[in-house]
Amino acid sequence: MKLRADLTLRKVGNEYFIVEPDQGMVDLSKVFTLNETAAFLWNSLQGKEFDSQSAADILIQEYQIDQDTALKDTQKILDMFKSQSLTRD
Amino acid sequence: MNNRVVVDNDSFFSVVEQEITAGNTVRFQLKGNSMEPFLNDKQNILLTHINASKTRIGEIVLAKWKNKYLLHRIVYQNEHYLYLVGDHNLVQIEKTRKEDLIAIMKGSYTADKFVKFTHWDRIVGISWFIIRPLRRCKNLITRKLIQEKQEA
Repeated sequence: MKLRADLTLRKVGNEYFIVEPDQGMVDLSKVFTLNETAAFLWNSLQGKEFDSQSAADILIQEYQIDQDTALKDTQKILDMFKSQSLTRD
Repeated sequence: MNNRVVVDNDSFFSVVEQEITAGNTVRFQLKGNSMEPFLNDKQNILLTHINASKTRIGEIVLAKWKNKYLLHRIVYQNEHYLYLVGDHNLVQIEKTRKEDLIAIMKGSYTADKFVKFTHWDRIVGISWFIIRPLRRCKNLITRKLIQEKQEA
């Protein structure tokens, strides 16, 4: 799968959120928030083809966590991305 | 995408400024009542870029003032400065440099329907400012009456 290339990640204060520009209009009344880990993953996966394992490998490398924890966390984040239609197959 | 996000004003408007500079129009939900009775708390509005030489009295603009962001109405302007006022305010006028202008309000949303800001809205808005002394008197009288009622 791949992240949708038309979305933009913004950092506002301590919050990360994704905005969806639509024909030159950005609707900041409808945004999707990410925590720091999800935002890190979002940035790392930009423009790449990935699956749960390759995304988990990025978290293992960055946070030095074990494989099981990384896979569990990654799955949660990717499920959230999918449920909000932030990815495409 | 509809998770509710609460961020501080300045951080939020810095993103609005980034998007406007990038050439986008920006829709967002207002917080506060400084533009009542014309714009209400939680109302959605649409902002777009404007050249500082094209502003007109009565228009509602986003500008920086004393390192803060304001969405207020232009009540007077000259070559270098804009004089802004919150419609709900009875006293204050903010003087800001034209280079601190960020965007202009293109319109607002009522029940998710876009309503364009018109020439008529400018006239009504500036008229509201002109009768400010009367609004101040009414406010004083109302306050006095309430005070007398409480004392009685």
